[in-house]
Amino acid sequence: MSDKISELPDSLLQHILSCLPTKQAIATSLLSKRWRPLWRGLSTFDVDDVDFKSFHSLAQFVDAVLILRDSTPLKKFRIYCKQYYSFLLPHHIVANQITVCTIQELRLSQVEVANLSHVNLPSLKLMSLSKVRFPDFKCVATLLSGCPLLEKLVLSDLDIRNKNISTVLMLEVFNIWPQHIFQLDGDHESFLYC
Amino acid sequence: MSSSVEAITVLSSDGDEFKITVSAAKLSKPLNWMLEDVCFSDDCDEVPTIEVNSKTLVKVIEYCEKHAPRANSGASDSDAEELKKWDIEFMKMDVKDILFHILMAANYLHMEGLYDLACQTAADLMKGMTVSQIRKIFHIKNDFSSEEQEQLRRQHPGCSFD
Repeated sequence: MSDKISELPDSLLQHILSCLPTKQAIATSLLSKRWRPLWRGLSTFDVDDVDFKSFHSLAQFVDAVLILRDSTPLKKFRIYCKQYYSFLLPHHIVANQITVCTIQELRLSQVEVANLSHVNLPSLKLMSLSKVRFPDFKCVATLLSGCPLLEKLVLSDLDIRNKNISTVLMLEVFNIWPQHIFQLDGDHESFLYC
Repeated sequence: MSSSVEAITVLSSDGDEFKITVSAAKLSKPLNWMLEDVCFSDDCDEVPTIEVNSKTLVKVIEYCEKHAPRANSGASDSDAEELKKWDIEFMKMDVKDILFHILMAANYLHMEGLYDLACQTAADLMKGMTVSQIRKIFHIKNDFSSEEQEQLRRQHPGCSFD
């Protein structure tokens, strides 16, 4: 029996891989040389913390994938944390306008969003935030103000640290770089398989 | 094309003739273009060929005929639920053989619904499987040399080829 699936065009294989959790989609790059580069062009990002042995390895993985993937537009971004209350910020969504403009669905669960400076999610239709921790109201306002086409907003158990509501009126723009959020060091590639 | 025509005849790549209703053929963009461009009346003896083998074309037509009424009229929730169950049954096929051809055909015929369904089916076969199990299911040959594997292992301490 011959290997027919590997003869399929890249776009088709990438569509198949986009139906898998991102961690497993990346593991398929070890199948053969044909499969090695495919994961970089996936249009979905989908991780569950239960698939990682520690929060640290989850955070390294998220960052490594977002840094090493190519510029294929992301359509779906989902991070689901059940066990770790994390210090996660999907900074590439927030920081990079090229990768953000096609995201239609953003789901974050049990995630801590650090100081947001600038949000641009012009295609976002659905945002679901469950047990998400924000430093202050300003941060919530910044996030929402970057989603002009939002149709569905699902909020549950938001945790806002600083409840001083007067800060909502102040929007400031800073540059946030990945390393300030994740404190990454070393070779990103080494975090892809864990 | 005459509006009285309800079904058209097409040839598979094996040369067999198949009938497909016009409303079902409309699920495919290229077939739809064909409907507009090619003469399908009775006195026209040209039968268009579709580059899909007979065994696959039977399945593709079956899918189109099932989905066409709902695609054209809009589905109610209960219809959509029933169709979903039908899709699952429809996709219970011999992986090594026909799924590959269905993927190619859905891609070639620009059929979004069947394309998504077939891709999801292929992904479901991979879900939860190790690298070596996926290789076995799809007959993928590991063409990394032992040096390359060794190097990948050094670069990525967490990776597993098994």
